[in-house]
Amino acid sequence: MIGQRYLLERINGQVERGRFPRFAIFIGEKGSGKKCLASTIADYLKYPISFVDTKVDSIREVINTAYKVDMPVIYVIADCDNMSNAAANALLKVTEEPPHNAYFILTCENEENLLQTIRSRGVTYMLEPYSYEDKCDYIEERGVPEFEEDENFILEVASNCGEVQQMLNMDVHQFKTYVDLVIDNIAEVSDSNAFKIGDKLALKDDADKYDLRLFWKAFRSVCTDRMKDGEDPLKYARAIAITGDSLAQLNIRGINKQELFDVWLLNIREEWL
Amino acid sequence: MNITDVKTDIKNKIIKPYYIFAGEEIEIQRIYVEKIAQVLGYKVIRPECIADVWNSIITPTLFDTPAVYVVRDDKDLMQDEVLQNQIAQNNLNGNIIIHLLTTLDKRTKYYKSNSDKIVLFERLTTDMLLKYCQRITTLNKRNSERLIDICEHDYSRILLEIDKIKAYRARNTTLTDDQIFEQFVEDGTIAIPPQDAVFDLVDAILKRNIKQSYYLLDQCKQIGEANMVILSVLYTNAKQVLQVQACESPDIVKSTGLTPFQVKCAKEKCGNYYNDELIDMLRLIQKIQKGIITGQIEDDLSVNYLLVNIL
Repeated sequence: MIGQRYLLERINGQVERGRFPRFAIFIGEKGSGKKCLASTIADYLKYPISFVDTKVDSIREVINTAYKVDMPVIYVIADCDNMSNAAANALLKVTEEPPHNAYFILTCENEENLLQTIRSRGVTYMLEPYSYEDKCDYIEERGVPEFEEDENFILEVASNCGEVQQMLNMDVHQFKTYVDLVIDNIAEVSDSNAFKIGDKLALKDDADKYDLRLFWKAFRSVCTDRMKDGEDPLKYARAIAITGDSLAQLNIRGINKQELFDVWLLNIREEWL
Repeated sequence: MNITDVKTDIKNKIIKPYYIFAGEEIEIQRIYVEKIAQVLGYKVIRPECIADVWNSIITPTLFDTPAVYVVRDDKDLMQDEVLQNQIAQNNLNGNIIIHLLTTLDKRTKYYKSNSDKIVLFERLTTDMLLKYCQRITTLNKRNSERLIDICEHDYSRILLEIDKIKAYRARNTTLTDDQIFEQFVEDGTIAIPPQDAVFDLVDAILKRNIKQSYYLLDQCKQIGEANMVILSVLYTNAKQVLQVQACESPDIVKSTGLTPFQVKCAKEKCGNYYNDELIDMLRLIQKIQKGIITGQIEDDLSVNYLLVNIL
């Protein structure tokens, strides 16, 4: 696994002493390697790993199975941010006293999205931020892009390996052109046309469009570059602040991405007009 | 099993020991229960749950006659498979159990294992209800149909409303049933149920009709419409109005990416707010929705808070 050195050291120590908790919570943004870390722990412990979705029926089923299996299994309940209350309550029963042969690992982006009662029962592990070198290592491992300019853009925008991978899978040059185009025209077009900017973004989990989080990070990165170049620093500084605020809101459970994007757009326009 | 099978059972006096009556038509269910009891000459007993009377049902007695036991939404009965097996084996000593279910969940094990015993009492058709109405009142066809619509095809409610008309007519012999009905509808004695008012509410808000907006908001609250739904529909519509209103191009459809129908609807609501006001409205709606999700804004007051700020 790339990165997460201190966290892996801590977990390794716990595993060696036989003290790795039976109920752990991994917190980190999308693409930060939560599932990868769980798989690494499974390798340390030499136990099989099972990924479970957050539907209440799946959780009930896994709890029933966990009491019956005769060899230890690591159950990873991934992406718990949007877990329903019924599912969380079903999980509560097992978190108080996990079965002898089961390790439960929950992964989520925002700790606040988990029930307080669940948080208090688990040992929390915050994933570490990835360094520039970590991201370089990852790109090296997965295949360097054709153009150095694209690689630099990826390294500037992506804040973790998951995002690096996401960007490696797309046409980076096209993406950068789109971001530049948005910055150049966002305040130029009419209110009517402005909303069409979002047409290329995955505001409703469309697989073939650009991820909103990545777009905002790219927008922030390009604004920072332009600010450094001395182009109206105040204008870009305000845009960076607005974008940072919107990025933070993206982690709120149940937030409407379309509306969040619209309001971001209106705020940027107001600032730049 | 359908109602005709129960009818045949009653006609042939071959009553099965266990029936499950499901559906919203409570009055018709009651009639069938009474008919079954009448045919067999049994009394009707309505316990809280079957477990309360299970000993009386399975213990043979010399003196007591069997009875028709009617329970409503008995959760124990639905979950206790042992009890269900005993009932299925017909060990009821001549007693009859009728389980009334308010809602029928087809995914449950209870439904799957008892599907041959379930009789679904759906709302009666307009033609059938029309016959019932005209048999017991002198309402003309138009008013009878209106009454059926107001009562949403609920036979029990139709009977209750007809009772009101009959009671009033008994004191005012000069008025006809039709005149009384029209008067009752006008003064709200026969209340028209609130209809789905979200889209009307959104139209009223975007047309800046203050009185109508608050009236329709009350209606929405009466039918339990979720505030998030209202806010979401309002957001979408307000955004469309802004897009159409701010469009400088003659080809609005192409310029905005909206459908011709959306443009037509939005055009009807244009001109009531300045563009800046619409932008503020969008921001405020998003802020309120976020506030509801994060618990910073009270859900019950959210739409009122919005209306106070924008109207």
